[in-house]
Amino acid sequence: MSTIQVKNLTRTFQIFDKKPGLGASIKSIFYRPQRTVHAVENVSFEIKQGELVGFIGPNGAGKTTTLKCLSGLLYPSSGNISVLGFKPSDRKYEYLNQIGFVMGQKNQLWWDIPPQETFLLNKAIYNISDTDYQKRLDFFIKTLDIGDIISVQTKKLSLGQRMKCEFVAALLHNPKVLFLDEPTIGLDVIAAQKIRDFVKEINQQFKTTVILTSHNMNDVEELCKRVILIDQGRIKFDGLLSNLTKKFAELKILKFVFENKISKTDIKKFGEIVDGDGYSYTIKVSKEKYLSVASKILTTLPVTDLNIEDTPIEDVIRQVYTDKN
Amino acid sequence: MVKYIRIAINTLQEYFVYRVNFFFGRLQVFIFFVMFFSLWSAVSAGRSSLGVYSIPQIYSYFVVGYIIKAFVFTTRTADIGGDIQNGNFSTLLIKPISTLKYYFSRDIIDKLFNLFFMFWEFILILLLFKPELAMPSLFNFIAFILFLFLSIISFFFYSLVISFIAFWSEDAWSSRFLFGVVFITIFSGQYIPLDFLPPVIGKILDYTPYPYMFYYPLKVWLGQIDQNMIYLRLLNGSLICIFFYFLSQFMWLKGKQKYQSYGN
Repeated sequence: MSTIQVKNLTRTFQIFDKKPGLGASIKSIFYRPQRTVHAVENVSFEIKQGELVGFIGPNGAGKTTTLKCLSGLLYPSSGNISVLGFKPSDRKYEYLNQIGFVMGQKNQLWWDIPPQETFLLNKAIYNISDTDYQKRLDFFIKTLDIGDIISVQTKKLSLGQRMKCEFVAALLHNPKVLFLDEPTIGLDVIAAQKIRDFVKEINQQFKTTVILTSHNMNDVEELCKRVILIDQGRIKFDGLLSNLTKKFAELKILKFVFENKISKTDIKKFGEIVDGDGYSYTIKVSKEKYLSVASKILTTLPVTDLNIEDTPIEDVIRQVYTDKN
Repeated sequence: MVKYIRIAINTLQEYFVYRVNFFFGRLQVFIFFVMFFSLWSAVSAGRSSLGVYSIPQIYSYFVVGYIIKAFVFTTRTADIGGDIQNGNFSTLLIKPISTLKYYFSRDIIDKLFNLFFMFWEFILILLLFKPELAMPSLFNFIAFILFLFLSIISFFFYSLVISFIAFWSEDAWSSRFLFGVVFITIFSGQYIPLDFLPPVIGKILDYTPYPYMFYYPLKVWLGQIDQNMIYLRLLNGSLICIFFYFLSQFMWLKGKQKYQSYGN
C-alpha cells in the first residue's frame, strides 16, 4: 500500500486584485471584488514508503500548497488525501507524531534561545526517550557538524547553520514522512551539499519517505529518482527524472575538442553553437540527428575528444513551461 | 503534561534573554507607584472620601488593580493574530500539541513571572510609602481569589476569540486594539471605578464580560458587594467564562479550516 495517496486534490483561494496607487487603496476599503484562484487542481498521485520524490515547478505552480495539504496545514477544497492511512486535515496526534516538515522560510526553532532548547521541547512533545534522543542527537551532530552551534542563540546563527538545526528539530522524532519545502534556499554551495547528503542519508538509513520541493535543480538531480512536475496547479509529468529528459528534451549537447583551430563556419553547419573558442566547441543538435552529426564531425575534422550529454534538466523544465505558454 | 511544562520553561528562558527589557519592565512598575502615590496624596489632601470610596479604598482600588492588571491582562495569545496572518502559526500546527494548552502554558509562566517580581516590588513600595490600604475580610479575600481565577480564564478565552478573528479578517491588530485594549481598559474600570459613570452605563456593562475581569473583583476586595451579590456575580462571571470558552472552541474549529498558511 502507498504511504501517500492523493486523489483529485483541488485547493482554491479567494483573492482580490488591487490596482496600484492611493486612490485604488481608498476604493478597496469599500469595494473588493474577489476572484477564485485554483492553486492546485485535480492533482492525483501516489508515493510508496521510502521513496524520495521531487516536486518541481515554477513559482506559484502549487507545490507548497500541495505539501501544506499533505501535512494537514490546509484543508483541501475537494479531493481525498491519505498519508500513512490518516486524513491529514484531521490533524490527529498519531498522524502529526509521524511527520516532519522543514519550511525553508519559516522557523520552528525558538528565536531567542539556543536550538538545543527547541530540541528538548520536541523531545517532550514527541515523547522521545532519553536514550533515543541522545542517540539521534549524536548522529545529527556528527552528520551535520553542528556540535558547537546548538548552544548559541538561534538568531545569532547563519542561515546555513540555522537550516541544519531546523532539520534536526524536524527529524528528532524519526518521522516516517518528511516534507521539505525549499530546504536549500539561500544556502551556499557547501551548506546545500551538506543538507543534500544528510537527506540522502536519512532516506536510506531510516527509509523515510521524503517529498521535496526545490528550485535548485542540483537538489532534484542528486536526490530524486522520481519527479512530479506541476504547473498552474496541474501535474504535467510524473515519473523518473531520466524519463523527463527523454520525454521533453529535444536536443543533445555535443562537446568537441580539436587538434587545430577550427573556424565557426565549419561548425555552424552541424548545429547551433552554444560555446566555442576555436579549439573546442559545444553545439546543440536534435535528438534524431546527433549520432550522424557526431559521426560526420569525427570523420571530417581533427577531433581529439568528444562528449555527448543530455540537455540540462533546467533547460528541459524551462522548455516544458515554454511549450505550455 | 511534560510538553507543556517544557513550553513554560522555554518561555521563561526567553524572558531572561532581554536583560534591559526585564530591568525597564520592573522599573516601569516602580515609577507607576511613585507617580500614583504622589498624585493621590495631592488629590486626597484634606478629604476623607471620594464618592463611595474612602481614601484607603481608593488607594486599594488602584494598587490591587495594578496587580490584577499585571496578572490577568498580560497574555501571549495576543501574538496569535499576527502569527495567523504571516503564516508562522504553521510551525505550531504541524506538531502534536494543543494550541490552547500551548498558549495557556506561556500565559501561566508569564503571570507567575510577573507575580514573583511584583511581590518584592510591592513590599518595597509598602515600606517606602506606607499607604493606608483597605484590607478584605477572610470571606471576601477567598471570593476575590476566586474572581481572580475566573478573570484569568475568562480573559484567556476572550483574548483567544479576538485573536481568532484573524482567520477571517486581515485586520488582526485593529480588532485586538479595540476589543483587547480600549474596551478592556475603559469598560473594566481600569481608568476610573465604574460607579463613577452614570448608572445606566453600569447596568449595560453588567451584560458584558468587562466588569467581571477587574471591577467586581476589586469591589469584593473592598467589601462593597454583599454576600448574596458576590454569589450572583461569581455565577455570572462563570457563565461568561463558559460562553467565551465555547465561542473560542467554535472559532478554532471553523477557523483552522479557513487557515491560509501564508508564505512559503
